[in-house]
Amino acid sequence: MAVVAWLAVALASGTAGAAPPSLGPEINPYECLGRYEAASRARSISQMQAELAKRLDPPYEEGEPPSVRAMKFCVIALLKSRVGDSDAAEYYARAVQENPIEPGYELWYGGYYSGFRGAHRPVLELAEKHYYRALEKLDALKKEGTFRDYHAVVEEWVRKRLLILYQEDGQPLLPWKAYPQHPSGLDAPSLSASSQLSVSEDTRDFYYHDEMRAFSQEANFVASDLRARAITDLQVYNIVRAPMRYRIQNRVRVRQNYLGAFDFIHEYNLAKRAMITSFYLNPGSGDLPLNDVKVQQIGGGYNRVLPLYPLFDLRFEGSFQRINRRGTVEFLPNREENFNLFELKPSLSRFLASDKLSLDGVYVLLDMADVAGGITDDRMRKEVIRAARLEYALYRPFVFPFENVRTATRGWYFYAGAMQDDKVYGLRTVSAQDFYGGFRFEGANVLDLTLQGTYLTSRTTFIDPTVVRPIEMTDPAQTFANFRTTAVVQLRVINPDALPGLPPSTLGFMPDMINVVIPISHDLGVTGRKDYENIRGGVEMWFKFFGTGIGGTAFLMTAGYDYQFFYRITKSMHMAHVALRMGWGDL
Amino acid sequence: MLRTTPSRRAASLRLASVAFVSLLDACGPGSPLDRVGHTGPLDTSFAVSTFFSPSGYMGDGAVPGPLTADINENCKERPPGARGDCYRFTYVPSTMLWSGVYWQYPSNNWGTQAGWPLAQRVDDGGTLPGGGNLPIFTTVKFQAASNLEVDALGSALQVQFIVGGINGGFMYSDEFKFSKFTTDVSTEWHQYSIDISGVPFKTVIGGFCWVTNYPMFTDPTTAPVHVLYLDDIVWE
Repeated sequence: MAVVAWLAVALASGTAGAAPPSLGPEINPYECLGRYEAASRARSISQMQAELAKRLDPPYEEGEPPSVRAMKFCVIALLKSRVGDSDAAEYYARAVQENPIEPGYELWYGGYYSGFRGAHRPVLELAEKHYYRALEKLDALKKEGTFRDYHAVVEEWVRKRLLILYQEDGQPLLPWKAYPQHPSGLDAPSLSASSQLSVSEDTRDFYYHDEMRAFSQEANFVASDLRARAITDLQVYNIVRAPMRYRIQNRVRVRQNYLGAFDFIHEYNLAKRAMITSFYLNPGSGDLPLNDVKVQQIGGGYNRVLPLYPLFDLRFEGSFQRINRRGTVEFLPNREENFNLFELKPSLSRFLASDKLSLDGVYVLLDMADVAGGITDDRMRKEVIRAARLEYALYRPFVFPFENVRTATRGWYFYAGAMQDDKVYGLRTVSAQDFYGGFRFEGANVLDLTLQGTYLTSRTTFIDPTVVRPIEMTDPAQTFANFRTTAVVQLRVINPDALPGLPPSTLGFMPDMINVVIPISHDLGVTGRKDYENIRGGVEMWFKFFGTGIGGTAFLMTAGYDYQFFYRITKSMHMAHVALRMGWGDL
Repeated sequence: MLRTTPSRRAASLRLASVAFVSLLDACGPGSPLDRVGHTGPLDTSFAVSTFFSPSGYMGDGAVPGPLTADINENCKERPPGARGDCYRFTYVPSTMLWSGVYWQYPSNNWGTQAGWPLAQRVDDGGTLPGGGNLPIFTTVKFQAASNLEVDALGSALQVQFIVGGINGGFMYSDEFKFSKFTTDVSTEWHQYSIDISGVPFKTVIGGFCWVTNYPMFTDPTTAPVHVLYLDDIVWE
């Protein structure tokens, strides 16, 4: 509704003055948006395609002036974007070509790359190119005295979209791409600093590892032939713990339109009394010997979305980091490990008609040095994580049972994926696998809903070199599987999509988003130990605002409370987490 | 236009699945079968560090702190021709006033798992009444030194060295125990050997061990730190 209100204001403020003689009548670019909305609202994709076909045959009448042709090409481009035609960009380009002085068409062109295209991230470099061109044209109109009231709306929308485009980067340290942006900022580099501080007291770590599996692995290891061979009920109970965790992630990002984004990364993690020092535990006692885990990471990364249409958009993200870790080696809580971490996260995405198919991959290698001492064949340490995820996003409008009209959504995403994490301890490999599937429904208005099922396993394989011809065997005592059901309800108190322009600012800060999130999960044991079956529910607040008074920095604050009940061992946990982010990456 | 029939589609899907799984596998850590060195019974002279791990910390060493090990770093200058890893153990006495370390197979094994099998030879020398088999190994040799100078009585650090002897009442145990007690482990390398011949045994969990202690009623807060260097620990 807010978009419509904005549109009404923009259209109403349009003055039909005289354009340069060669271009024909001056046309408000929101006319394009209005015609597009009229041709797409409450219509199915096939009806939109029919509208599109009509508009393409012919795209304009003979003798129509360029400004009219530009508007018509713009409508076609928006419709083509909506139905997923891969040649939409050509029509935006044609609109710009027909009316090269109108900044509004650059706004829509930029919107195509920031709103429609991309693989989980916008095609930033192409989007910003058109937004800066829009700013350039707006400046020219001001100089020529042909800046109309609706151009103020165009300018506001361009600035808002640039804010969103750079929101993950953090605090700008150089002026060229900082808010309020100027046309000269396109080729200039940006330098920005991001910092994310997270504190939690939670059974779940910052990487969302499944706690039922983690606790079960620990208990199974204690009870295995490799350690104490027995575990008491009290020890089973005490393994459930919610350590205080602190994390600060710092990043300096250099961004340049031709080159992409280069990151310098530093991360510090501290988890108090998180690691079991000795899996022999304390014989005859329920107390766990625990120690702190401290991890420091420093390195560099690169990311960019490459538009490779008509094939697909490719997002490339990779990083190399040097890790210093202390507290994860059993028996040696002060043992420091230094190793390299390589991370690759490619994503492919393309439209299939109005729907979008995305394939994401993750490859992480923790290239640890072999341990000093010990049996020669047991010295190797390594961890490899591989994951793949396929997502099919339905962007077509739906007729819901409770509504009689066809309603556009922000996407109904169906996804499935798998993850394999192999930790190598010499001739022994501890493997964890996740297989998951679910959907995320993002409603047009205030409600989002996610429902996911995850089947999680862990197993230990080993070979026995004392036999002449060893084979790979599985340790049945350490085989485990559970099924997690997750439901997340998200309510949008302030919906950022409803405000295409800049929201009101107070003391240089603009609130952009407030969400209330209700996550619920249930862990059910499938194979092996079932002690840690649990149900968990909580509430979170997400609050995003822009510091327009300090260069347009985006801040994201989250805070939440969760309650978890491990019903088989009758243990309740009250947990809380809070995070303050100035810029961010994957959340 | 090329049409894909259901059977071809199924074959394509299978091929894609195999390719995907193969790709995942190729990017993985690889099979331990490709990494294993020796397999089967120990049948030739070997350095203890190749097949046994100094994982069995005892006494004050059972908890983190009092006993620390440096392996292949901070060692004393190695004896010529030394094989295997070199070790430096630093023992700061605590409440129990004794400490020691077992080299175990597998690591941390106190008898819950089987040890290494040893190649056998027929006892043709009449060692065993009625004959039988003996392990092919007859001696465990090693070099030891400490941070203590030899005193007027010719004594320095007193250490008991053990081979075998793990018997914790679990399913598996060492069927033998050989030991050597010495009081002269000083700042100079000295080679010691333990005779393990003449006793039949087929497997070994505890490939080597050392134990040292402080006199009773020693005040651990004022007692000197003991440093034990070990090198060239070899079964022959």
